[in-house]
This record gives sequence, C-alpha cells and structure tokens, in this order.
Amino acid sequence: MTEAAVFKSRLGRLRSVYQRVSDWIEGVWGWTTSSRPVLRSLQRPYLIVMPTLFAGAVAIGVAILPGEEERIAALERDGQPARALMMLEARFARGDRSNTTLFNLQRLYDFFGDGEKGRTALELLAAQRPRDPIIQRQLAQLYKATQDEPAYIKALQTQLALRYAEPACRELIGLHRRRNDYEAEQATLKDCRARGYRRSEDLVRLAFLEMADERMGEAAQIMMLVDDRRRLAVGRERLLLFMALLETKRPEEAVRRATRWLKAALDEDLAIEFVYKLIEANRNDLALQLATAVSKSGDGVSLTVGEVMVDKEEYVAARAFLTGWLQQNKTMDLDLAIRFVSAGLDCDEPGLAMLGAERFGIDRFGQDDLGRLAEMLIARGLGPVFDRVRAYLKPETILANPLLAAGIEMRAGRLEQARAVLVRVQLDRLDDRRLDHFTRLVDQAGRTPALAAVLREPRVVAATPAVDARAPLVGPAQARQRILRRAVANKQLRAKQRAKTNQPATAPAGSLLPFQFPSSP
Amino acid sequence: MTNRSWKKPRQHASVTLCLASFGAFVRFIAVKLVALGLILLALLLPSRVAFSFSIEFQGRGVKRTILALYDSAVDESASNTPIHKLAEMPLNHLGYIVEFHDIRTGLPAPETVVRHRAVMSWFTQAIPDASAYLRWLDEVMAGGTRLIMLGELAPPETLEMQPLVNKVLARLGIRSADNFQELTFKARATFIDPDMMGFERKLDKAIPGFPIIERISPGTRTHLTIEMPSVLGVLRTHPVTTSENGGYVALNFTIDHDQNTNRGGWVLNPFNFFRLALGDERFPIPDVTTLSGRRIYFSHIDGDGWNNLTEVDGYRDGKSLSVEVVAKEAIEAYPDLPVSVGLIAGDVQPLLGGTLEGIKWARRLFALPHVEVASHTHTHPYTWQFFESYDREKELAMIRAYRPPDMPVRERMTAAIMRSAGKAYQNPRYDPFIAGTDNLPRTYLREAYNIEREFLGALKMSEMFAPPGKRAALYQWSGNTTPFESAIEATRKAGVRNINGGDSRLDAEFPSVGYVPAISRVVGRQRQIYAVNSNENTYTNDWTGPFGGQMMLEHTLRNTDSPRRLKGFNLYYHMYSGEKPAALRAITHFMQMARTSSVVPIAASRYAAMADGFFDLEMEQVDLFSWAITRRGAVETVRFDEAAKLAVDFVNSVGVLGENRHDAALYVALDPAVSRAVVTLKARPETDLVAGAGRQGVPLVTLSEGRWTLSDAKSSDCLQSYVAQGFGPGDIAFRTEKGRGFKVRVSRAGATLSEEIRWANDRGQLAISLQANAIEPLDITLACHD
Repeated sequence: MTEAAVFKSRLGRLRSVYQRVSDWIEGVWGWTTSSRPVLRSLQRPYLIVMPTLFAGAVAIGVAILPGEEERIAALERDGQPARALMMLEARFARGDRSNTTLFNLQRLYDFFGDGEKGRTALELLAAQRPRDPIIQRQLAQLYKATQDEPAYIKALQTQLALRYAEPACRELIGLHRRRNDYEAEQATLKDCRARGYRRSEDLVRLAFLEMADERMGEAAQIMMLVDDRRRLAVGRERLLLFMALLETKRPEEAVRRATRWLKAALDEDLAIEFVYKLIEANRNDLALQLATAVSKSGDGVSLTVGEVMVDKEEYVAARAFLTGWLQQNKTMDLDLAIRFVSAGLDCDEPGLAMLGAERFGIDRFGQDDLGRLAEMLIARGLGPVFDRVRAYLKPETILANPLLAAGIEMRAGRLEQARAVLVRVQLDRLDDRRLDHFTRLVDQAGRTPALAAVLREPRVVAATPAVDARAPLVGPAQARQRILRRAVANKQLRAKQRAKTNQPATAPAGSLLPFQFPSSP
Repeated sequence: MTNRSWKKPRQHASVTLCLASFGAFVRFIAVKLVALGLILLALLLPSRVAFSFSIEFQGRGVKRTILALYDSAVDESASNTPIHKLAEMPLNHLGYIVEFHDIRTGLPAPETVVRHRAVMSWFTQAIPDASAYLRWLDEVMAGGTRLIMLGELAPPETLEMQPLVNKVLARLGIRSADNFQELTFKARATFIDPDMMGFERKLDKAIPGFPIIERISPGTRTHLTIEMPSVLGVLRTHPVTTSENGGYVALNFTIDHDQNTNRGGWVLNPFNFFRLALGDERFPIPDVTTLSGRRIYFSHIDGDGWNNLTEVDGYRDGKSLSVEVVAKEAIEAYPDLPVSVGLIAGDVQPLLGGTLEGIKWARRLFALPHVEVASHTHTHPYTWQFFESYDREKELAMIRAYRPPDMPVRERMTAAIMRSAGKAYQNPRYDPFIAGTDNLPRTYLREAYNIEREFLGALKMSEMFAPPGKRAALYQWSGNTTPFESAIEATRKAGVRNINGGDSRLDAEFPSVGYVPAISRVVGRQRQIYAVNSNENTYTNDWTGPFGGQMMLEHTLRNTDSPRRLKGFNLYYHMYSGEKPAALRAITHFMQMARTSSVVPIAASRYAAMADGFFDLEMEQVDLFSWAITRRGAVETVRFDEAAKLAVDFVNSVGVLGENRHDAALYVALDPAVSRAVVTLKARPETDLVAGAGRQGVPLVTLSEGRWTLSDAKSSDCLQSYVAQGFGPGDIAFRTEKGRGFKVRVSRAGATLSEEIRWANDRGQLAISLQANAIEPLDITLACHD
C-alpha cells in the first residue's frame, strides 16, 4: 500500500468519525433539516480549527500582555517619559506606595527637574525602607544636592546609625566642623572612632580637641595610636604627642618616641624643642639622653648637651664640652652664636664665649644682640673682652640700654655719670637676671641715697616683652633658657610656618589656597 | 585709575549741620583733621541749634588702588594668588582696585608707590632678599602708604632681620616678639571682636599656632587677643590688628579650611578688616551690581551643545537640536529679558564639524531684538595656555594620542551607503578632529589655530547670521576661561567686551565669600571680566547630573544680595541645557524669577562695560561730603555703605538721577549723559517726604527705582524729561512731593506713544508702568498736572 493510499484511508476514517459525531449531535440536540446548512458548514474542519487557534492566541495574548510597570518602562525607553510619569502619578493617586512606584516617580521627577516632588517620593520610600542603606544614602545625597544641610546631617546620622561607613563619618565630621559645632564634631569623631574610623587626620584633630579640653590622657592615647599605625611626620603632631606624654607623666615614653622619630630623620629644631620641654619638666637627665642620642658633633642639638651641663652646674665638664663643640661646629649662625656665647659666659669661660662670637663674626650681630652680649660681658666684669665688642656698638644702642651705658661709664671711671644713669633705670622693666646685674652695678658705683631709694621701690613686674605681671619670677638658669628659647623659637617660627598648621596635606606645596573652587569648561 | 591731581584750587564749602542729626556724620569727621574742629565747635554749642559756617577744603583725588605683591615662584601668576582669589572681591566691593606686582621682577621705586592707598602682601614662603624688601617697605610706609599684611611679613624672618621687621611693624603699632607658639592647648582667646572675627567660621576650639605680637601703640586696635600660660609667664598676643597705617593678620587667623569637605571659609571679616585697614574713608563706591536703583539682571549663553539632540518632551523626535529648545522655550518666550548668545563658529561650519541646521537657528536667534550677538570662540579652546605659544605639531601629536573610538561596522556600512548615494555622512563621535574630551586643547581641531580667526573671525561669523547692522558685542571665554594677555587684547582690538570665568558660588556647597570672585582678572596689561554667576556645569557635577542642579543658583542669588549686594543676577548657561528637561526647567524658573522680581534687565555686554568702567573711573573729593566722578564709562551707580542716616543732597549734586536703599547701603543713580557727576551727601531728614519739588533747585522728581535705565535728565520748573531704554514693561518709581500729579508722556522721535496722568501717593512715590517697547531708546516727559 502506497503512502497516498494510507493517507486516503486515514482521511476516510476521520471523515466517518466526523460523520458519526455529526449524526450524534443531530440526534442529541435534535437539529432539524433547517439546520443542515450550518452543520454542513461545520463539517469543514478549518472552520473549527481556526477559531480555536484564534481563541487560544487571544488567551495567550491577554495572558502575556505587558503590565503597567512594563508599559512604564517601555514608554521611558521609547522616549515618552512624560506619559510614563503620568501613569506613575495615576498609580500613586490610586494609593500605590510600592517601592517600585516611588522609586520610579523619584527618578522621573528628577529627570524633569521637579525637585520638591522627587524629594517627597524619596522620603516616602526611605520611610518605608528605614533599614535600606542604599535608599538612606540616596536620600542623603538628595539633601546634599538640594543643599538642605540640616536634613543632610540628619540623613548622614541615620545612615551611620544603620551601618558604619567611613565616607559618611568623614562627611559628617567635616560638616560639623564647618558649622562651628565643635561639640558635635568631637562627639561624632569619638563615635566614629569607636566604630572603626581610623582616618589619621581626623584622629589627630580629635586629639587636639581633647587637649583643648585638657584631657591629656585621651589625647596621648589617640596620638600614640596614630603614631603606631602611621608614624607621625608633622612636627606639630609630634610635639603634641610629646607634650601629652610629658603632661601625663610619661617622659620616658616621650623620649623613646622622640628618639625614634629623630633618628629616622633629624629635625634639629624639633629636637631642641624636645630637649627644652624636658628641661622645663625638670628632666635634665632625659634631656641629656635625648640630645646625646640624636645629635651630631657640632650641631645645634649637641649644643643643648653643653647647655644642660651648665644648668646642672657641671662647669668643668661643660667647658670641655663647649670647647670640643666649637671645634666640631661647621656652620655657626646667629642662633647658635647667641646660645654658645650665653653658655660660655654662664660657665665662666668668657674667652671661649668670645671665640664663638668671633667665629660667627661680631660685626654680624645685630645691634640688639650685640648690646645684650656686651651687657653680659660687662656684667661679669670682663672688661678687656668687652672692649673688643665695644668697637661695634653704636651710640644709640648704648643709649637705649642704661645698664650697658652705666657699665661703660664705670669702666671709664666716671662713677658719677654711672650713678646718674642708674638712677634713671626703671626696675619694672628688668627681669631678674638684669636686676641682679643692676644691683651689682649699684654696689660697684656706690649706693647713694638716690640709688638706695630706687632699690627700695617695690618691683611689680619681671617683664620680658609679651610676658605680663602674672609671670612667675624665674632664676638665672631659666633666664638663660629664655634667651636660648628666644633663638630657638625664632628658628621654629620659620620652620613651622613653612609647614603651616592649617594647610591641608592635599594643598599644593606653597599654596595658601586649599579652597576647591568651582570650575567649568 | 584714580585722579592723582593733588593741587586743586582751594574751594569753600558751606556746611550746614543740624546737631540733631550730627551722629550721622561722626564717622566722616573723625577721619578728617579739619572736621575735628567741627566736632569741638559743635560740642561747645547747645544741642538742637542749627548753625552754619564755612570751612576751606582742599580737593583731592581718592586713592583707590592697592599694590598687591606676590612671588611668582610660589604663585605662578597674579590670578593664582590668595589675594586675587580671596581678598580682591571684598576689596572691589569696597571700591578698591588691586594692582599686582611680582617681587621677582624687582620692587617698584618707592616714589611710584605713593599713588597707591596701600601695599598688600600675603606671603607664606621665603621671599628673595627679604631684608631689602623690608627696607623698601619701611621707605614706602614712611611716605604715607599703608601696609596690609596677611600672613608673614617677609619670610624668612631671620634673627638678623628682627630689628628691621620690628621697624616696619612699629609703623602698624605692633611688635614681633620673635616667638611662635606651636602648641596652643593652654591658650584661650581673651578678647574677640565680634565685628572682625568669626565671620564665616568661628575661631577654632583648638586654637592654631600663633606668633607673639605685642601692641605697642595705643592707636592700634586689636581685634583678637590670645593668652597662654607658659613657664615664662602668661604669653599674650594680638594676631589681628588695625591701625591708621594699615592692618595685620597672622596667617592662621584669615581663613580656615576643612579637609574632609574640602571647603574653606573666612575667620576674619574681610570687609570690616579691609575697611578699617584702609583708613575707613567714605567715598562713593563705584557699583557694578545696580542700575536705576535695582539689581541688574543679565543672561548669556555659551554655544556649547548647539547641535546636540534634545531629550525634552515635544522635541524628542530624534531631529530637534538643543538650540531649538532653548530658542523656543527660553528665548523667544521671554522677549522682555535680554540674552547674549555666544555662537561657536565651528558649530555652524560643516567643514569643521558643524551642521547646516545650526545655521538656521543662529539666524533666527540673532534676528530677535532682545538677543545680543556674541561669540563663544571659533574652535572652542579648552586650555587657553596651550595657545599662548601654539605648536601645531604638538597638537597633532595629542590628537593622535587621544584617538576617538573605532567606528563600528554598522556605522561604516551606513557611511558607505550614504557616500554611494552622494550624501555626506558625519558623526562627530568618530571624527578625530572633533574633541570629545577636554584632554585635547580645543573642540574643533581640523585647522591650525589662528588668533585672527579665533577672535575676529569668530565675531564676524556671528555677525554674518545677524541682520545687517547688528554687530557682535561680546566675546565669551571658553574652556578653562583663563585667556592669555594677547587673547584678551585681541577682543579689545576687535572692539568687543569680554566675559566669563570666576564661577561665583555662595551657597551651602561653597559656603564662603571666598568662592565669589573679584570683578576681573588681570593678565599683564589686559583685563578679563568674570561672569557674575556660575553656570549649570558646576551645578550639575560637570554635566553628569542631577541636571536640574542649577536650581541651586537661587541660594547664591540670595546670599550675594544680602546682607551686602556683592553681585548682580546673571543667568549663565550653555546651549546643552536644552538637552535635558530638568536643566531647561531650571532656566525657565530663573527667567520667571527675573520677570517678576525687582531687577533691571540689561545686555551682558553692558555689564562687561560697567565692569571695565569700574577700573577706569576717577573721583575727586571736592568738599567734605562731595565727590566729583569722571571717566566712569558705563558705571552709572555709586554706593555708600552704612548710610542709613545719609541722603543725597540733590540741590548740590550734579548729574544725579536719584537714590535708593538696599539694606544699609545707599545707591545713587548717575546720569550717563553727564560726564562729570558730582555727588553730595547730607544728613538724612527725619522724613523722606520731599518738600518744594521743582523749586529752589529741588528736582521735580528723582528716580527711586526702575526696570528701564534713564539718561539725559532735563528739568525745568514743572517739566522733567529723560531718555529711557530697557526691556519689558517700564515700571519706574520716582520720588516727588506727595499727592502731586503728572502728565506722563512717552514718545519716540517726537511721536507720542502714550500719555497718561499719574499721581504721587502719600509717601511721595510716583509709580508708572509703561508698556512701550524701549529696546530702542524713547523719551519720557513728566509735566506738572496740579
């Protein structure tokens, strides 16, 4: 049997089945002869198949029709965001507060620049999802972009309450600082630190704030942490930690850290500052230890070793040290010259002091410094040495310094003139060292009643410039330190002002303009 | 430039003072030696007695220039210095002009410095030959020139230099103890002058390091005192002082910077500090923010994005350009608001990469009467410095280095088909000679840079699309907006004004007047005029969104208007704002605001002319309370600060149209038709009501404020006329006697346009609203109708 014959036979069978079904319908439903044409038409199979297929297609089509969300997306994709927004607004008006609706509303309001409505939508969304960090961050960004600073701060706080984030901490700390809310800044710094915030600049800032509140222990703790994590490099920060440790009675730790810093890279000014801070704290032993550890022969730091010896009244050792120091010194500047001369005179070695002065060049001293040097020499009765300096003194320098003028008069044997000068001295303007000098001169010139009266006058102020009446009286050693500190401070002024305490690390070198200015192409 | 003529003939001034209002004058008199006699005399006489007497007054030029010294080894150019970026704006606001001098080129001869009111420095780094500088400074100060010192005086101030340092400081009434306190945790501020410190930032809780500065003269005012206990006693310093010879502020007490947010702010009040340090002299301050008693409004558009396809609904057909949207929605819809449109010539030159469609819109825009023709360059340079010493080879190498993306196959096929059909195919995205990034020096790179073409050529190109006779008036800087000297010179030679740069912001994101720039930037002998407000680019994070960010301009507008009006209202944007609905909405928002607020709309080139005029203006004090103003160019307003108790004496003034007040400032409108205006002040009467208008020299009406600008005022007993020009409705308010009636006639070339009767209200305010088109000047006549 051919395939065609098989097909025909099957078709015949199908027809007979169909016929039987038709007959059955006719029998069951009682269709009459009048319905015959309908039945005849039904007997054509495609008339059944096609509607069935159509109905199926319709059903499927309805089933897969895009929902409103898909239609919104499609409208946006097809460049009809306004229609998409209308649909979303209609949904919102119907009470739809679903995340998708609110999110899309916010996005489209943003697209059309309707900030107020966009904000409302996002705030609703954030209220629905208070624990969603992404939404909370988005809300914070919106407040930032719309410059609602109080809301921005609140949003950052909410964000941080939800989950710690370094950028949020950093921003919040900066905002508080910018708004001069130091208490909130400090509180946020502490809170963030407790949660893992480790940005060195901010921790240093916290330490400064703690120190301003005189909480030295906390400041020292924070700075040690920063130093351990990232060795402190800025002089001011090192000084802060050093002082915090001294204030909390941990000088050994201070010296240990200072030695470590300075051995890595010697900062002479800072080293000298450390030494003097230790001397101020009456820890000459540690000062000597530090100076010895970090200095090189002939440098400014090593000179402090000799100065400490003078302070400890170890004059023989000091003389030997200063002699050696002068031999080793290669670069004598005015600061060093003044310190050296002062130390030399204090250990009764005027010849050595003069050697130092001449190494630097007496003519290079300013008249003020020269006047002070001459006064010191004459006060110690070192006439011949003084005469070598005298040649460089200008008359106005002598006139401006009555002690020096009186000394010169006395050296010339004009006691009467010397007394006349001394009577005019205002004791209130003398510090202890110079008062001592004055007394000595009065004794040498002879105590006339007028001079005795001057000495009896109550002395109110032991003043150096910028030091007020509340200043404690200081002894000769401190007086010398003061002179030395003056020289040191001057160097530090230059060194540290270059560092500029308020200049950000990110600012270009030499620039005072940390401002980031807006710019447009 | 100031008038430096010191040998004016002696004049007699008759001053009548009412003792009841005497307090208003105390500030004047205190600084005048002659006036000191007045005070003593006044004190001897019983109060509430009016008296008059004559005194002699020596006319003298008002010194307005300040010599700012900078070190080019630290700050490459004057415009990079902190003085320019931070101090110049407050100084401009106070009426001063800053002239920069690089100390690396040597110090100017001391005798030439006498013409300056002060020498100013803000050094932070070691300067060359500091000792010589100190000697020079001493000589200059001995000649009577003030010193304003911010930061360090002459770093490095070595020990040897201390006597010299203190000699100079002594002239300021202070002395350096040569001691710098780095650790300040024990320091406390024992005196803070609230008018001087804590302007935008309070003094930091952790007080910054400070030098020990002593006050040695009782005449020196200290504005901050810090005390700190030490082993030496209590250290006391005065880091902020002013005196009759100038002022000093230690480095850490000027500005404060927060690293976290990377924003700075003034600790010092720069306005008060500079005012006091410069002698607190009252003079009419040339003002570029106000005209006709109102804040100015102007708008200018940079052509960037001219041919971009827009996403704005209603235009989103894939063919509409940004320029079309801006033209229809923001320009044609606001015929009452002038706008300057800066065309980039390359955008309309198909050879360079422009489109023909763009030309159509250029023609349509420039034909509008309220549109000013301007140019935004020929090839749109991004980095102007590159063209100062231009090297085409170098540019070509850069073009090769920044290759555009490869064209995909589909694009290539499209291009091939179009070419085979005889049509041009262009997609700038794949054109190596059209920069898609500002890493390249300019946008249109096909041709070598040519200065002639970049300026004159570009301006001619703009004019080419304008109706015959309408000339280009403005050149708008592109890219980094830091043109070099010969570039600015080229605009001057082409006879146009220039503008852009500065990017002024004063809002929560940029919360300091430090972000509000000066009026201009000086480059060599040329001057670039900064735009008054920033554009949408800075508000939209370099056009990355949010695109409606320019809405935040409102904060800057508010903050630069009060408590002191620092800037006008400038709506500045790019054509690409027509691309995004949010950006367009921001623009139209501000245009609505300009339409409804009390501003005077002007063309951008007019503002640039006013700004230029600020620097040319000269003034001479001709009497105790009288100043003659000449060479003022387009400056038509002068201002007096803290003038609540002062008023213009119209009887003794010349060329003064009127006065208006904003906060505590008095704005005086000058008549542009009068080349030498004389402004005379008097004590403000207890009532602002005018009496005897039109009689005994009292003007019939004076201008309070107006949307139009007036000039050529002519008056007789009962008639007052002006020439008026402006945009939109002519809302003008005059002051006159209360209840008086006027026939207001508006005409042009003799033909009456309108006529109406208006009456002054009980406060003497005569308000008129004219509907005529005043873009072309017209005449306004007010005749008595009593």
